[in-house]
Amino acid sequence: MVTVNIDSRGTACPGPLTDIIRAYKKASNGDILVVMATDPGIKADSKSWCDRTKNQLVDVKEKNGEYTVTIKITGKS
Amino acid sequence: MAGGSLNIIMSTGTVDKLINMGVLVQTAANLGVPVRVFVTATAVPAFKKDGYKSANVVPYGFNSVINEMAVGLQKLKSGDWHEMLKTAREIGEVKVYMCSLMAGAMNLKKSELDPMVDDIIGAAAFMQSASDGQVMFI
Repeated sequence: MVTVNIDSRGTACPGPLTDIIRAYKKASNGDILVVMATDPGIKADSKSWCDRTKNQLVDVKEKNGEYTVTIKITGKS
Repeated sequence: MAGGSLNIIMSTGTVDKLINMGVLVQTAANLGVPVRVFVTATAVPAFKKDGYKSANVVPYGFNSVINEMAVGLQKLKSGDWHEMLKTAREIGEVKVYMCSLMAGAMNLKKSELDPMVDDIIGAAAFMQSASDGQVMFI
């Protein structure tokens, strides 16, 4: 299991989700993606993406306008 | 749209509409939704070879808001619509088609179009390929 940190701070929709997809393509089931972003859209967008792709949204934290989204990869066939 | 495709008829070539298209195509690609873009009418010049470099037509009366938007998008490190489309094609299943009627009317061959244009097709072929999903007119 690998943890991949993704820094999407300063970018806006749909950039952060694209950063997630790029990391996802190299990831395996069980890996963890930790995304840092400043775009508030990341909260709903990451949930929509996880629901659609059957990956697990583990946690979304917000502090001082920065979001940390943790995703467990479970959707790879 | 669950399981289906997103099919965009790109008819208006102003920069605001092109940005809308870029965001929607990149978002759909992010979600794994297949996308087809059918380019027609005033959007055609933007999809000529290197057309994106000069096709920054601002809708009449909106100069100040478009300028404000452009500055804001640059600050957000957001690429222009052409970069968004290119990114979407890298990560997802995205096809771009030029309307054959418009290509004929403007005497355009495929070699004169943006390399991202996959083919020149008619409306019937687009409608047929779009039958599995949602159609959006921009």
